[in-house]
Amino acid sequence: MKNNSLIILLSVFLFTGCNGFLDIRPEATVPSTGMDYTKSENIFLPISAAYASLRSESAHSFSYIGTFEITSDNADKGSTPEDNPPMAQLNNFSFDPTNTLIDDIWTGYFNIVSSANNAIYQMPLFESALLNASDKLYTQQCAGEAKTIRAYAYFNLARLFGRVPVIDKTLTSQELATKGQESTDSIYRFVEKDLLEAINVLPESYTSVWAGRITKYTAMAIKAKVHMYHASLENTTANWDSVASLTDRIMASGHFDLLPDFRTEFSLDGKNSIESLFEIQSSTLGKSTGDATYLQYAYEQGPRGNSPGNMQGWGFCTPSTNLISFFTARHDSVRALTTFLYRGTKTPEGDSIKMACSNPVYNGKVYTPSASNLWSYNGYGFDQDVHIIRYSDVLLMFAEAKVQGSVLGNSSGFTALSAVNKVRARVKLPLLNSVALQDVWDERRAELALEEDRFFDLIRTGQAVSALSGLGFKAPKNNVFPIPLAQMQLNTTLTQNPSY
Amino acid sequence: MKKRTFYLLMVALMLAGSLFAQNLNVGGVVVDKKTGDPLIGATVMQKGTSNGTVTDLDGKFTFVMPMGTVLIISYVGYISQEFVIKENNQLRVLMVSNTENLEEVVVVGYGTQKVKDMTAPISTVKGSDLNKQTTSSAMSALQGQMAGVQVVNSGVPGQGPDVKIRGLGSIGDYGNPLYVVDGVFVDNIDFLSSSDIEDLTVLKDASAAAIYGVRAANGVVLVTTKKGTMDHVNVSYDGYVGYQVPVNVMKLASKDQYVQMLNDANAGITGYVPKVASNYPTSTDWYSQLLRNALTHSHSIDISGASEKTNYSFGGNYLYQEGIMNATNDYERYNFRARLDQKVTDWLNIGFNSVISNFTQDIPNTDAFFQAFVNPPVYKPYDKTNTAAYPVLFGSPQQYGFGNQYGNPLAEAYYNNNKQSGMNLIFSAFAEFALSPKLKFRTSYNLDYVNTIAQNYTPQYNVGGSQGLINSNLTKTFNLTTKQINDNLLTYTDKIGQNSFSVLLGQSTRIEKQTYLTGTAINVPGFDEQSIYLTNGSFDNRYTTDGGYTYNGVSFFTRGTYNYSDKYLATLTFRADGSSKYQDKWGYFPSLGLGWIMTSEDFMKNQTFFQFLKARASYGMLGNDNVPANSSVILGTTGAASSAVFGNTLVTGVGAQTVVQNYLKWEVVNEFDLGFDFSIVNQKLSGSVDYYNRITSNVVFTAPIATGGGVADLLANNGSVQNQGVELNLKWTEKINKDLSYNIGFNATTIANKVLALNGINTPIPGAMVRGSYATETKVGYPIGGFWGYQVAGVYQNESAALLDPVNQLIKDVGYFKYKDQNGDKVIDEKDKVYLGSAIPWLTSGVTFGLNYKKFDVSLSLQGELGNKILNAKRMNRDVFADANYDLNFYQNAWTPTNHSNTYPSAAAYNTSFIQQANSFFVEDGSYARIQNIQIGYTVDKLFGMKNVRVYLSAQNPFTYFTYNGFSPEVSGTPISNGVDTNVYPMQATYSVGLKLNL
Repeated sequence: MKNNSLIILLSVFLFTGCNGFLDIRPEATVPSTGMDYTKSENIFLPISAAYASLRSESAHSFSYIGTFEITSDNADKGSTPEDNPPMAQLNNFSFDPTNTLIDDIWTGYFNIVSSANNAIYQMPLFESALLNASDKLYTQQCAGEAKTIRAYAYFNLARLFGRVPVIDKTLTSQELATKGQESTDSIYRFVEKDLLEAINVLPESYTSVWAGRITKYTAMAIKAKVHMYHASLENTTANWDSVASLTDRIMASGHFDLLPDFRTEFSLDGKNSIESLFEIQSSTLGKSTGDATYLQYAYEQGPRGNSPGNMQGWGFCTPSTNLISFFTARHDSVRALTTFLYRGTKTPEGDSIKMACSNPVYNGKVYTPSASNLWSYNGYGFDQDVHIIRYSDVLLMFAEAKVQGSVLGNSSGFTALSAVNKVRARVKLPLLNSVALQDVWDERRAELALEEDRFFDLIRTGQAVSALSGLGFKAPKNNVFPIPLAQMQLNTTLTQNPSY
Repeated sequence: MKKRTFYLLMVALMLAGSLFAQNLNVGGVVVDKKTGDPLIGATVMQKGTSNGTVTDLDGKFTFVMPMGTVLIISYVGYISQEFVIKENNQLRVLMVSNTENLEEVVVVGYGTQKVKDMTAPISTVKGSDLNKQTTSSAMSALQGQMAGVQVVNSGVPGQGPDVKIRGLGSIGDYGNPLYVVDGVFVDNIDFLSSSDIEDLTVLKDASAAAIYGVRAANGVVLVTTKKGTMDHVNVSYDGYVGYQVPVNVMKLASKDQYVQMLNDANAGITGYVPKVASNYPTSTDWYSQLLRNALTHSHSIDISGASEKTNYSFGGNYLYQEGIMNATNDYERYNFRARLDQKVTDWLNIGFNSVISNFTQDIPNTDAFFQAFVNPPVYKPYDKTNTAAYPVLFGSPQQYGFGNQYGNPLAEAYYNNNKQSGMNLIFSAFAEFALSPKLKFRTSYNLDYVNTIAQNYTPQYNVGGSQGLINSNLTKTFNLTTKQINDNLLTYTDKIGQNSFSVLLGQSTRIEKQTYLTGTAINVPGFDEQSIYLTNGSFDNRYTTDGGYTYNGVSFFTRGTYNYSDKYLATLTFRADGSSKYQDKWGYFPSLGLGWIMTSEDFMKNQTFFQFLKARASYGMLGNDNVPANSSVILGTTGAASSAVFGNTLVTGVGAQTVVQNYLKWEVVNEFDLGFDFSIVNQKLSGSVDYYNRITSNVVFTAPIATGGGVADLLANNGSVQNQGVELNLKWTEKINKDLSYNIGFNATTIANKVLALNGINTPIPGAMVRGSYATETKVGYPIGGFWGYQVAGVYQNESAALLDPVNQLIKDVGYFKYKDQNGDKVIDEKDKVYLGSAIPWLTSGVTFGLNYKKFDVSLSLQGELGNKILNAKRMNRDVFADANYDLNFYQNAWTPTNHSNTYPSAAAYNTSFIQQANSFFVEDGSYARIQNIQIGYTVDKLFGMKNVRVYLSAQNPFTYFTYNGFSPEVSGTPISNGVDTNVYPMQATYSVGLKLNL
């Protein structure tokens, strides 16, 4: 009996001592919250992760190329006919809600939203813990960067899917599974609000070590583009006014210009150039092995079957005959030289694109000379950034807003005509005497070809049916992609887009 | 008549006793003659009186009785012994068992129990039986030997088998049994040699396993290493040398057959230039190039013995197994074992046990088997003209215009230097205090210490195409895993009248830790083993990473056993388990087992059919903490993936998901078991039959969640799974005369596995991804990881049959499959994919046969599985490997205009992705029957001063019958992705000569 009570005593002791013993965080981890909020050097940690989420294969590589460009009249699937059926479905509009690339891009952009949400949530924790006023201000600026990232992600989600759930904070998995969709219009409004808040707190520029970091003008350029798309839905004048005044402020800022040589912008020397408003950073950091800090965006479009190993890629997203004829008809030779990479030719930089390649022509804008491809595993173009908004886009958005009749945005001194002609002059095209809407649209196509702008531009401008019917496009069905079946199974409150 | 005499005698003796009694003090110990284990609760009586006592926990007794009277010592299952007491005496009583099976004592977890008294299904096998099979792992030898235990072997040297007890209860890969080696919890016993093992017990149901609690939900394999035998010094050697021969080697098409079929396949493609066989230099059979006959040998020495106070056992074992892949791949292991149990005083026993296992494994690159399957058989394995190749002049498929997806299989195997070496130490020490004759306290410390070094090195080399490496590459991982357990047990045993009972109170504390450190470097020179160090690689591009885990657990448990008059039996267990892996820290799990020995009842006395019959029923709950730990808080994500790049600069970041972690509750197994044990035909036929039904609820696994939180899936209590079936064990033992005896054993188990619920998950749980779509999925109402795809209804025999078919599918043409329109909507789409079977067999069975004639002994064991399916994923790559070789079976059976197959597509159709997707053509039957082992031995007694010498010839796995188009029907995998054969290592038959010496 005495011994029994001993055991009971021992048990009681163990029970009370157990709580700490049984409550341990997994090893080799850090908690997401609870980092030292009093240290200003920690502020950027969650922001950095939000930037990193942009560098995602799902958001800005294979499925991005597929949904934004291969769907358009600019590009064909490429590669070999049997390769990648989901991509072939995007090329000929035979996709349905089970298409894995459409699911992939949904996930890719929502992951960006999540990373941005985390960063936006953490900033006030720093703000209240930090004492220094400039540190407090910096947390607001950083939140502005995260909001810009979130807005950009929702802008693309809205263009891709029309209606998606708008998630702006941490939820439980049950809440995620029951979150309903918002209308396209209200997503655009949400995005515009985020961007407005960001513009108010973001700086005009950074020191050169922060090349590619989001500035006030990045947010303005994205916001201009959102309004341009929003204008196709409603409130035409107000939206075009926003486009005009935002682009005008960028053009008047003096921070941006076009590079003298179009080809330079698409070489590694053109990374984060004066022409760049927003580009997704991809870099091998000068190494040849280690963790991936790059995108395979260029690799996936590299010449298939070429040699040596660092001069070949998967060969997707090949320029269409339609695009090449379009360039030829315009005598757009300077841009053509950079946009098209033909097999059986030698580049000015000295690389042979061999006749053994699977496809006659490849995307020249991602061409990367062999001297720059040092990654040991047959890497090609891992240091190529993904251009999201370039200065020429800003000029052409401005021109379009003006042609659409906006009277705002006159501080830069540009007119619709002078803006378009600035773009044309750089690529040695004759200057126009007057500019109509179709001129701007055509200029956009030629200037931004294979930069994942065309497909949604066609839908926005109402040209999609005429341009894409031959490829299988049906309106209004294909104005948006289907909600992925997998997502509808995970969140049963989602409703499918019409006709899918 | 007899009774009366008895009474008279009794009265007489009592009178005599009271008249002439000179009382003597008698004491002693009662032990099993064979094992030396004390017999607890043996009845000690003065003959003819009710004057008696029972032995205590050490088998001891003290007794006062008159001089000249007779002492009877009896114990159920043993032959009773009588002693005439003439003086004060200390007796040492060696009891001999009177029957073969039912009186056997088995280890049941923190104690032993007689088979007869058990209320739960428990199977035991002797180490000596396992040792009969020439397998490197003891668990491999268990295949087919025990009902309810499924073993899936691998042909890779040193790679242990996949073991499941009573089906699959886990959707994550957490359904493996717990192994307990002398009290130490380990994940597998691959480090042990069969010769280290005294016996191996499998606790199958929740009621039996309950005592091992948190890790025991999927069954427990209890291993007792060798012990000394009382009054018997054993010095023995046991060893064999074996020759391994690849069996069931797949046949592939020859050069001519290949070229012919390839031309058939592409005949319809415009611009295709038919290949000409004579343009290729040779016809290479890649499998025969890649396989070889290989050696294996094993040597064990055992020295053991026991006296009244000391029990010792020492042993050593060396095993070497060369792989049958024609490249560096082998397994070497040497073990040392030492055990010592010492009785210090009357009230104190102490002991320790340790096993040290050292191993080195050269791991083969099994991808080479896949390359052998697909590579065109038309070029030379070695080719002096391929001057681009270095350091070895391998032939390259690219020399003949084949794509980069092909690589020389021999080179693939050759340029692979992956090895793992390490040390596994099991140590346990205990002290046992006899607080009173009936009450014992035992405390023990148990350690499992595993240290491994894994090294993956690929030298700089080139063969051709993309088969080559510009910079040599080295990855090394140092891993240290420790599991420490402290057990404290209090046991009370007593017998009051007809009521025997025991109570156990226990407490256990567990700490499991792992840490690893991994480093990688490139440009490491590969002169020799001494140069393969990270230090010698380039200074740039050198990386390290580390990690680990800590799991803590505390348990309190109690077990009570009750036996009324050897008729009614009960076992009650209750546990409280605390685990650091769960948010709901504590789980409470009761279990109850009941037994009724019907043959002890009066109404059975007059029947002669049953010598023994017991009905058993048990129900129990068990918590499983063999799951991944769940964090209650959201964790930060670090590293490159969470760090921004600006220009060419990486800026450190910390990210986080934005979905709240789930509150994880205990995964609970509920198991019901109903069984009968019986012995008939004069105890020649004994056996048991059991029905089991186990439901695992709150199954912990990672499942997809709705997008938006930054992660694709979360760990949660995501479902429930049921396994049910029947187990049958039969054993016939007959001794015909003193020269001839034989035994036949049979066991069979059925398994019906079904997912009962996936909590709130509307998507199937995806499993194996083959060619871009999921070939296995886990859905409610079906087994875990079932195969899903189209049902092939036939092959279109001609153009008009295809055109007239009202059902639309993507391609309708001659030689193509016609898929079955399951929903009748006249369109073949995702909705027509159906369940095509699962890798879980519905029946596993084994037969053993043993015969002894004079000095000869013969044994045979057979084993098989029925109803398991295999996805032939090797074939399912044809659209990527469009000019790959064909397996001979396809070559012979493919649809052609002259061979109107209704099951095989044409060669042209075979190349399309439309055919190359999950469908019933690729899901094949994996049923098999195998001769596991045949052995003939001859024993000579008293040779050269030795006690005896046995020599034997053994054939392990000499013959397997199956219809599956692959090397082996044994294809393992994770539960949700099981039975997918991409590149299985072939099986080998081992023919060996063995020798056993007893000094």
